[in-house]
Parts: sequence; structure tokens; C-alpha cells
Amino acid sequence: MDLLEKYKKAWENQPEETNKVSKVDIYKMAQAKSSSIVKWIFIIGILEFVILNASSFIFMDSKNSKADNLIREVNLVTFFDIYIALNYVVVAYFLYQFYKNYKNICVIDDTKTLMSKIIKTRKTVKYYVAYNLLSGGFVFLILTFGMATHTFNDFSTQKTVGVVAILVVVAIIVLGLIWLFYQLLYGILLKKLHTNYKELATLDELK
Amino acid sequence: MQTELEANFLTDFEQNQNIVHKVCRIYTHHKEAHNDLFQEITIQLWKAYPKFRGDAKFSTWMYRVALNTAISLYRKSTRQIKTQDISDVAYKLKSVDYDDTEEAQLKLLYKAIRRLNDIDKALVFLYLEDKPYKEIAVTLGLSEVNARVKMNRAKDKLKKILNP
Repeated sequence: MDLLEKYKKAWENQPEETNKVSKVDIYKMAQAKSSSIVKWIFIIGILEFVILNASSFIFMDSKNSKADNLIREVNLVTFFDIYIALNYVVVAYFLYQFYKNYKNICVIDDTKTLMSKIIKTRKTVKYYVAYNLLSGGFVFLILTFGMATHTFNDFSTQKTVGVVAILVVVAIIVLGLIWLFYQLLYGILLKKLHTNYKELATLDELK
Repeated sequence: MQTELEANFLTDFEQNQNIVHKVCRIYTHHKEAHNDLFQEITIQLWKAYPKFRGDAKFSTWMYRVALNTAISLYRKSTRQIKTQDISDVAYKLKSVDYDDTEEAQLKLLYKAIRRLNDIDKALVFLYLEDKPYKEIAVTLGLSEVNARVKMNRAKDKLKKILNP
């Protein structure tokens, strides 16, 4: 007899779980809060959304703030009006995608489909973070150059170039750190899923 | 007050809960984690229950949700059993070869399955539960051919752990 057949028989004859869960306990458990990966991705996605937007609101939208005065001073009012409008469109698009992805994830899908949908959800969040980092960096650059040209008039002076260079380096470091933080956050969250997904995905190569 | 949906769910679940216990046993290493995974599977089953229309058997559907939760949704670390390496299992196996009670075999089998990766666990589990390849393929989202290939590999790995 095949080795596994012997064990299969033992498996088939295994006694039922002695610690049966009662209907009342099943009911209580079913009402509890889920702690699934999807839920955490969604929560972190929403948190990112809130934090990133809150910070840009503080930076951009308070009239007569330092930032607002600065924008007026360096004649970038039109630029920022367009930028803010465009930003709302992009953010609305991402919000819609977040919601759609989340709704699409369904535990009764087959395992492979379910995994790929979860990974897609994570990708959307990743693109959202990337967009925010890039647009943040872009605005920072525009403002820096606006300030430099406005304040010093003569852009070519060594001092100006030095200041701009330092600011750019600081910006890159800050953005890099934020990026690293996200990589770490999702890396921890999705490590197991990624391993499992790769395991399943290798099968397609067998055909 | 319970709705009819809730009442049906509780009855179906209570009768078939052994499936979930078995899944928890192969995917976790200690009681606390077992209960934790059991709870998460219960939540997912209940959340998905309105979509269950009875066109499949409840148990078939339960296998899918339980395995999906263990493989894709359950996040807590499954504590690795480092003290229990392969040679240890092999040593124990040799001694049971002579004292071949089904209880001892079952214990060894669980220990061996826990050493497989998540996907192989699911494959071996469905094999032990005597599921046809067609159902295994549909549950995991593979073609039937791929399911067979993958199953043979998983069974080989299991055999190697059981009888190195």
C-alpha cells in the first residue's frame, strides 16, 4: 500500500473535534471585527489618504498663511490654482479605485483570483503614494525655483545655486524616507501573501 | 432576534465546523492561534453567507472560504516550529513503524503537513479529504492539469517528510 494511503486512512478515521463550538459562540464570533489583510491594507490606505491630504490642506489652503503669501509673492497663484484643481481630480479617481478594489475582493473567489485582487489593491495604494511623493516633490521644486528667481533676481549667483542644491537634497532625503517607510509597512503586511502568490503563480509556467 | 438567514447559517456551520477545525489545525501551531484563525474564518463565512445560494454544497463552499482565509487573509504570524526539524520527525516515525496506531499516525501526519508551505498544505488537505481534482482545481484557481502536477509535488514533499 502507498505510504500516503495508510495515513489517509488515519486521517479519515480521525475523531471529531472535542471542543465543539456552540451556535451561540459561532454567532458571537461572526459579529466580531475582522483583522484580515485586506482590512488592514484598506485602513492604512485611508490613513495615508487622510494624513497626506490634511498636510496639504494645512500647507495650501489656509488663506493668508505663510505659504499663501509666498505663492502670491512669487507670482505662482495661477499655477497653484490649476495644480489644486488637478489634484482633486486625481484624488477623486484614487478614492474611487480604492473603493472599487475593496468591493471587488471576495472570499468566495478561487484562491488565486483572491490573491491577485489583494495584490492589485495594494498596487493602487502604492501608486497613490507614488503620486503624492512625486507631486509633492514637483511643487517643492517649483516653489524653490520661484523663490530663488524672485528673491535673488540673479539666478546664476553661486549662493543661490548652493541654497537650491541643499534644499533639493533635503527634499530628496525626506521623500526617500517616506518611501522607505511605506515599503517597510506593506512589506511586513504582505510578505506571507507574496510568498503564497508566487507559489501559486509558478504553476502557470508549467503549461 | 435572529433572522432566518442567521438561523440557517448557524445550523449549517455547527454541523460542518469540523472542516474549519481541521484547517485551523494544519495552519496554526498552538491553541491560541487556532482559535484566532477559527474566529477569522467564522467572520469571513458569515460575511459571504448572503452570496451562498445553495447551488453548491455548504461544505464545498466552506472549504473554499476557510482555505482562502488561511492562505490569503490571515495575517498573524504562524509561529514556526524550529525545535521540530525533519530528522526529529524521522526519528519518531521509525519508532512508530512498529507501534502503528492510527492515533500515532495522525499525529505524525499533522506534524508533517504543518511543515509544508501554505499552498501545499491546501493541496494535501483537499487530497486527504478525498476531493476530486476538478473541485481542487476550481477551489485554488488552477487548471486541472496544473492541480495534478502541483498535487504530485506536494504529495512527494509530504512523503519525504514522513519517510526521509
